[in-house]
Amino acid sequence: MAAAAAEATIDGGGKMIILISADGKRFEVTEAVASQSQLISNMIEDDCTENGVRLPNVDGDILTMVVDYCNMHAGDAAADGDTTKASSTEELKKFDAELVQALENPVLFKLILAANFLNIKSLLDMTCQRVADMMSGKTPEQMRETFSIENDFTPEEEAAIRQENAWAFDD
Amino acid sequence: MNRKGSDRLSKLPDDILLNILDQLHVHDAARTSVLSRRWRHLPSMLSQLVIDFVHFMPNGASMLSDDVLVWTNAAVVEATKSILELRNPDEYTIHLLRMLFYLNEGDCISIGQTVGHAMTTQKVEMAEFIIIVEKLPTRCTDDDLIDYGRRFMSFFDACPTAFGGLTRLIVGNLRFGESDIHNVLKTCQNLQYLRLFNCDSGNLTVLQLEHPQLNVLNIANCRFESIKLNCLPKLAQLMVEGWLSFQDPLTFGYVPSLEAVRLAGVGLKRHKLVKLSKILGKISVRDLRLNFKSEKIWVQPELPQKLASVFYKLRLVNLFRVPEGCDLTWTMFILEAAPFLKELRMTVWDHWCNMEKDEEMRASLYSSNKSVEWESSAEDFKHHNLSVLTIFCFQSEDFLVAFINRIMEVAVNLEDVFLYNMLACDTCKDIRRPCKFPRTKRQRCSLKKRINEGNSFAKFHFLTSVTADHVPISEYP
Repeated sequence: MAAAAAEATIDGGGKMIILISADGKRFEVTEAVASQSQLISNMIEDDCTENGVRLPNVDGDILTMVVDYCNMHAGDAAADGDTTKASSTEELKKFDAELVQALENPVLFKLILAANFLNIKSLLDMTCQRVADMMSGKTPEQMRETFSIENDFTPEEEAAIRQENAWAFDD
Repeated sequence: MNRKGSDRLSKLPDDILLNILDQLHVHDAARTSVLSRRWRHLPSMLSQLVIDFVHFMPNGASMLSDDVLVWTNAAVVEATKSILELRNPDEYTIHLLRMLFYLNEGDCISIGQTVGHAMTTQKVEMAEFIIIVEKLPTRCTDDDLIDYGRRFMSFFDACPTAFGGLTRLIVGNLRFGESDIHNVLKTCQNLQYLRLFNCDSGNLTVLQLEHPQLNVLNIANCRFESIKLNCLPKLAQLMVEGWLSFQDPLTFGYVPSLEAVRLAGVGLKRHKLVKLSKILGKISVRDLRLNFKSEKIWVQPELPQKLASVFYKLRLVNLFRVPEGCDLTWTMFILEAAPFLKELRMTVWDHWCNMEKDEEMRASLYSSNKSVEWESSAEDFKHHNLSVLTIFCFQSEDFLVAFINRIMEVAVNLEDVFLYNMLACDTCKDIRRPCKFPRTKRQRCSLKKRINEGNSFAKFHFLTSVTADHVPISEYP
């Protein structure tokens, strides 16, 4: 599905940019796709994408996901009316939901960091929302277990903090 | 490294963790302070605080029991105090503090004073009070309105600092004393948004409004003889709902920034039609929305000469909840009087959930013919600026096809026609008739055949859901 969207956008024209991941994988995308990243959009404006954009913080497998996401969402912006538009909105929602649901802990956090570094707000918000959903309604013990957070408080310290926020621990 | 066992979440930078906490209810966010030292102070750095009594109600509680109200409001007070008092003064700005709570005297005052204290010791950019009473508007008796009005005013009198810093206020079901609203607006000097619903000042009185900052004013189902907008230099949006039974309900004084007006009402048999030339008088807006609530069209079509000064800035007209099946010829008076109109947007929808269903009641109060008469004076009238026609809840019905045909004939520069499927309403989904939205290619072709495209180059778009990229009005020049 993502590949089809990518082709459609390439057909639509636009200059191509090479993105290079930390482990040297190369991705060719249109400017329209890439400029959903505010970071790259700024680089395009400053005309410094000529020799490819090196992204030393982003691994190839994560960049694959980011590029998929951007291809999918650029397709949305470029689609022109009629039937394509409606279906792409619904497909897009489904794509986003599937992407985010499928994410396991380590990959989710890498994707968050990549979205943050590349400054892609919609992807960052979506992935942060996923973490929030995983925390929502849980007790602190359950949150610690879900995310392997080590409790480094003494029992006395923890009791004092609970006391400060007693209202939040009622149920 | 053991991937499963490592805590990657806590290693994220503060701003990302705060983004995550922003998306949690205040309870969940507050609980994270106990996770570890890394998390200890994050909740007190949040920039958005939404404290909503609904999140504090015991599970499965009924809204209406007194015990639950008292208990829930007390919990809101405790949470508000704890959250606001644990923050370091002046360290992190609160961009938004939104408080939803019940109007009961003691608790409100505690909340108001805590918020007022926070406003003097911390940076609070936007503060909002949404104040709710026990009873639904339709169930409030005169005594209730008087009681709630009195409670509100004693809350207001006790918390001048909080009200002085408020940017948004939403209140309803109050009977004010004669000068109360004037005093409230005078104290709430930073107010940008005000919504009053089901409010009055006893006998039919004139609501006079003056405010230096107010940007959006929303008055719904209030019983004032008329509303005088004496001096509201920053007012950009005005919404008035349910005013129809009165004569000349609006008077516009100094409102130089007014861009958008929304009027909503149910047209009953006994109501006179409303003349826009009279009701809008000397103002001219860019964006006009008329909501008919699926009942009789209550607007009186008028000649272009009458409306010229009112309509010359008009770019968007939105006709909302136009009754289904009603002849739409009358809408042409808008096109004739608004030469610069860019988009005509319409939702043709009998929304059953919100309509009177009792047959006897309908027969005595409501008109069976919901349309109004209009005959164009200019036979060869053409509109040169209309570029977008949008119809929500489009069904392949003759009256809609005839309407589209008429628009295509008149609007010579029409570029796009957006036809949307039914709006979703979970409650009345079950009782809906079969949907006549053209879903398949064949249905769309057969619809297009019924539309006489003539010389028009307009492009048709069939959409099944509302998309965010549908040109918002603010983008019009």
